[in-house]
Amino acid sequence: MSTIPIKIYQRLDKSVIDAVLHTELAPSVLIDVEREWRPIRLATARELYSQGRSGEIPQHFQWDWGAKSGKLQLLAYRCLGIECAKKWQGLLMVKLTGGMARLDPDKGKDLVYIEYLESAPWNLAVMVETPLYGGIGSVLMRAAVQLSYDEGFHGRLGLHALPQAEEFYRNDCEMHSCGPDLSYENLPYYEMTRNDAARFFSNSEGSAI
Amino acid sequence: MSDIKRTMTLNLTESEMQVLEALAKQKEVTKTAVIRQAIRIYQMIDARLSVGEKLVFEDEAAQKKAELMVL
Repeated sequence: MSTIPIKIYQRLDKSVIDAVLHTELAPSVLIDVEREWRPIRLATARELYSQGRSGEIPQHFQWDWGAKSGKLQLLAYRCLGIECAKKWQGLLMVKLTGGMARLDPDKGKDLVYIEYLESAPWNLAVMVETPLYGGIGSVLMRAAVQLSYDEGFHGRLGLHALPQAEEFYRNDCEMHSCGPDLSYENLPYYEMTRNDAARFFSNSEGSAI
Repeated sequence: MSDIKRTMTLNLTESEMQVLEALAKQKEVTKTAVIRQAIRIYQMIDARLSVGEKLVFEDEAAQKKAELMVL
């Protein structure tokens, strides 16, 4: 497992602090993370439901990183994570095989497919009153682009977005929306082309890794 | 798992090398990347077949399905 020093944003005092990006997590980390994050996710969902705010329940509240950890037995999957203050602040699982670009100029060429991306519950405004750290998603997306470059995929990324996450992928990451995918629970498919990746990488320089 | 790379010599026939080179050119990646992808796919398919799943190719337009037999 290799580690890279990074900076993340601390919301409380608006400072930039040191953190560590781990580029290859062991399955046991995902099991530990799930043990810590799950109760907070579920409590939030219950609370919002009891207040009649079902529409605000995070759509990923039933994700289970422990259940996903088995995928890491395969070379095709990799999980990255950000650690700060001795806690995992965000996780990203990618699939390195089988994803093909749908957009020109690289239609049919390999890309890194984002399986799951989640920021720790204490970093999300819907979960806690005062989120601790910001920019976790952007740092992980930048790491995914770097991984795509390392794989020789020219920064290309693809993913299916939950509706609540679409704004992040469309606006913050400037990915292309390819519309709902009938073959994937009708979730919208988003893609970052090599040109998008170069722009995203250059725009996020200094603000992330 | 480790990021440390190990080197090996690969002996391929002329036609195998031609296919490898063509795939690398088509996908715009190195020959090493093609082989790396092949290993990942082989492992993934083998893992799924070993638990009783099937590998099926489907042509929706032609309404055709074909199961790939992996030995």
